[in-house]
Amino acid sequence: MAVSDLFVAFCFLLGGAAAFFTAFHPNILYAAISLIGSLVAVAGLYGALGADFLAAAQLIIYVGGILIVILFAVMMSEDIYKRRFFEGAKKYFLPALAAAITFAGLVKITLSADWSGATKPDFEPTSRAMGWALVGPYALVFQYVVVVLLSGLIGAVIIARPALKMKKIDEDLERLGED
Amino acid sequence: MSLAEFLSGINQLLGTGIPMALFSILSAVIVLLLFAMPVGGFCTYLERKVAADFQERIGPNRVGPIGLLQFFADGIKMFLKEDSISKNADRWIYNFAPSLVMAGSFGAFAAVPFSAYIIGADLDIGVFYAMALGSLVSLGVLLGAWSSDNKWSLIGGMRGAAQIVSYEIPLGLSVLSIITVCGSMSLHQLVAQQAWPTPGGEGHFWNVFHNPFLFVNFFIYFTAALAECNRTPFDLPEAESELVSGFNTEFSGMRFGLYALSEFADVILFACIATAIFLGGWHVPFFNLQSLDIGLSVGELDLNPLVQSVLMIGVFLFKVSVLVFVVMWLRWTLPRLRVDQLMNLCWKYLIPISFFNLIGAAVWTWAFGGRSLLQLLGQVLGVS
Amino acid sequence: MLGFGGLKLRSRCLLGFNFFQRHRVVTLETYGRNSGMLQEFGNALSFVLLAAILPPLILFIGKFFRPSFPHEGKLTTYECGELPEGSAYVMFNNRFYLVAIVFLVFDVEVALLFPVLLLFREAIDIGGNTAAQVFALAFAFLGVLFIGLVYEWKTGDIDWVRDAEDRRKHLETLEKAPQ
Repeated sequence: MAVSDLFVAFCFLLGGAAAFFTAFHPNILYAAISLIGSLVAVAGLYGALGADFLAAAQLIIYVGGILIVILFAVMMSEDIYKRRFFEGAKKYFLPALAAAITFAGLVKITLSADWSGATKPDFEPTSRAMGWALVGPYALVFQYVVVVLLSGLIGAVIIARPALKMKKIDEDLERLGED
Repeated sequence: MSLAEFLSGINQLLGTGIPMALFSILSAVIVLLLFAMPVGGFCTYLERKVAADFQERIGPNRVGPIGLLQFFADGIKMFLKEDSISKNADRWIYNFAPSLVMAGSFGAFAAVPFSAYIIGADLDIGVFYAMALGSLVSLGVLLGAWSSDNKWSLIGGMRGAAQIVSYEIPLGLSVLSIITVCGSMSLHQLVAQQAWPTPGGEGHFWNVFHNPFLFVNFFIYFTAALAECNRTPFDLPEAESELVSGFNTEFSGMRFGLYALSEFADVILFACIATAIFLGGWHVPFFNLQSLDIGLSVGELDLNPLVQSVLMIGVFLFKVSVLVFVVMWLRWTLPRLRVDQLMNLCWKYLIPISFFNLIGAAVWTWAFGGRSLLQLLGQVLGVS
Repeated sequence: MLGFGGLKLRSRCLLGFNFFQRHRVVTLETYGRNSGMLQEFGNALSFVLLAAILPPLILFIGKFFRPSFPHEGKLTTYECGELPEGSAYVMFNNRFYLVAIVFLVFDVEVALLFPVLLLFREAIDIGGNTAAQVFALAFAFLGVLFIGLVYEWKTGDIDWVRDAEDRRKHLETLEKAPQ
């Protein structure tokens, strides 16, 4: 068995275990931190398939960006660290159903796909090909992404604004009381 | 050509059949344990010595000649210190966080091109890889701080994470301007392009002198890198006068040592990357080291690459140490910023300026077909 | 993959998927040859793994040398000599969260621009309006997000001490107002 096959197996195990912890760990902070395992494992799989740029982008965007946002959200919610989210199996029914349907769909797609054209990765640098795709056939998607990003950017500050304003008004009132 | 292959080349000459994967590990051991860790440790000594010089003190002078072995003694001391973990600490995360920080700062050394022949891993996405691993550091700082259940740590960790992620944007934009001008992400190729320009040659001299926009972007890169490494004037995450020791307050003994080490490793790493992408890596003015021919060989073995490598590593490390010295110099020159000033500097100054410079660099590249200021000058003077 | 315009892939000798196979003959005369991306991935991976393993390894070896005298006072949280007051897990300034979200948007942007701007030199060499196309797409992308940044700047959403600033103005108007 080649080292790269071992590595792929390791990534599968790591990703699976981390996903399990994310879903079932009673402590929400641990659940969030377990995501590191899943995200890094996915980056590893991209690497093993020869997608160098994608693997690094996975690290930059997911581990360095989204995970930080999730952790900030968890850490800034009051008392969330002590709260346990493991109350009864009822809570798991709908998510489990949704997950099962998604999984069944994925299995169906996997089985029905034509894999005859699939070859082993040829390990050539991919970033240039990606760039040409982004300015060529996917130019519209590329520009669409920026609109989504812009709406996310503006949406985030608008949602955050009332909370900050409320705090300001509270503080103003408090200060006026002191005068 | 990576260090692992360099080693395996020597191995082939000796005629032993060792699998290639072992050379990968060996190259990692050489770069990390024989370069990054000792040099990172040596930087702690250097920092104290530089600080002493700035304050007209003597500084460490007891261990070894002029205190040179001080870092060694410090290392042994920390290694033998009790490892005291606060009882409220979250042990799992507490133990896991230093690994993340180390993986982020030390792992990125794989992309550093020490010479034309010696690079840990000659990745096509070299710069991007180093930036990607850097994002693990912010995670490690945040988690380590959170797990200590200490208010100082937590404030420091939050500040650290927010600061590191914010300054990744100007850093990324200034790296992007290099990518735009050079058209490559491989650090090996980026350095190769910065040779002294010769008639008909590929080189365009150091990127920092390529055009005015890149010149400004070098300083933006440097400022953002200072913030990424939590160095003064951006040392808010561990502001010792207000937060005790910041995010690593609860880390004692060797654990603290590991944090301190990875911080210095971060400084060296950013200095290495800055040297490679802006300051020409191992290139010197007026002469291309790679064309040096001493005309010596042992049997079939051409000694040129070895001799060139020694010179290249010397030049590269000289530039790196100048940058590291400037970082230490700034610590005793500039006062610490406030959090709001820090964020203002990033979002209102560095990002717009680097935006503008990116566009400027692209226009320059387009207008002059990628030729640098020096090449244009040569053209005007009719040298090349 | 080769369909996109002037895509020039560098030819490289491939090591293949088998990592552990005996390396082909490399003498010191063949410097500069690249034996394939998978080998480089392996090198990078060994760096990351070694770096991640070092802290636990060093701490484990140290275990046999260092003393261990735990004591109630030593194990309490350090709070400058005072007895620790409550837990550190209190709700935090949600400005940090806003910074993280804004960062995320720009992070995705920078990551997506890497493969596109990578092509710029090549596009100039190809000639025609390829360079114009790459330039327009990349800087339209940048420009739209820059508009978002300007918007936040104008509304003051990226100011860290917006509240404090507002309160200062509020105070000034109070002082100016006839008592």
